[in-house]
Amino acid sequence: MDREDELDEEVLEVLRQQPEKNTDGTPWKLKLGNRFLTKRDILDNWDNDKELRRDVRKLLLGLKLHLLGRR
Amino acid sequence: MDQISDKIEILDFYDREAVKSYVLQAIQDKRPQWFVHYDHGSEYVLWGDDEKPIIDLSNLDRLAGMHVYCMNCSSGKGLGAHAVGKGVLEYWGYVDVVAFTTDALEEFGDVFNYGIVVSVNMGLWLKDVVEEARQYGYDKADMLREQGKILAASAMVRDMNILHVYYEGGPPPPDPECWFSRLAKRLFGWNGLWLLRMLRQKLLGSERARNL
Repeated sequence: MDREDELDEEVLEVLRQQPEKNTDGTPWKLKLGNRFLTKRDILDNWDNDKELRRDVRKLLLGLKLHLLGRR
Repeated sequence: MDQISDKIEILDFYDREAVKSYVLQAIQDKRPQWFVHYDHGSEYVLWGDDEKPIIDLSNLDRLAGMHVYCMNCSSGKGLGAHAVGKGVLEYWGYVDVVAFTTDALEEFGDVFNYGIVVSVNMGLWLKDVVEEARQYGYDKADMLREQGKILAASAMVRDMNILHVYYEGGPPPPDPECWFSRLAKRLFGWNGLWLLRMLRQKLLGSERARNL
């Protein structure tokens, strides 16, 4: 498994753990540019949507780098 | 806006159509010190309710002498880079598409408003507030992560990473990524590049869909 696959696995794990609904019962969504995505949208399109994969990967990578800097 | 309305007079387009003609007329009549845009943005355009540009490269100079605060996607990259050259005092913007999640709307709202609230209330320039605002966002991201809201925290960090303020006397904008733009900038300077980009905009129009 290369680094990209490892990161993909990590991202998918975070996504699977993300509740589908917010505490007020509304669907959880990620707004990213002109896209407004539910958890299902992301998971269902993960394999086929290269741009989506890259963007969500970048989000998680950004958090990881931020945490490294905070140590 | 409640947090600043006792400090400055606000002409709010929230409950009426924010379109180019009204906004430019208001700028001409009121000559405001601040211009705030919370709506769709793209690299070279602040979009109006009618899905047409309010501000683009051709009329960026209408914001001359103002503090500009943008809560939109990507306008910091294109318009921001040319703003100071067109007389804008400072331009607060995001240099890529903004992200947020619906499980932390309050936190995102706080962070997106932080710069203007602090600047207006303390009488400071945005450039003097931006690093504190960024830190505020990072702290919120840490809090969200501790709550298990990993994607919200990730989006917050991303937004803080792409926040930029251009200001008079500040460092020049980073070189464009495109080699042609870099070459044009080297040959003709930022004003020459602005002219070329504006001509491209006139010929090809502006694309709204990509970055909102």
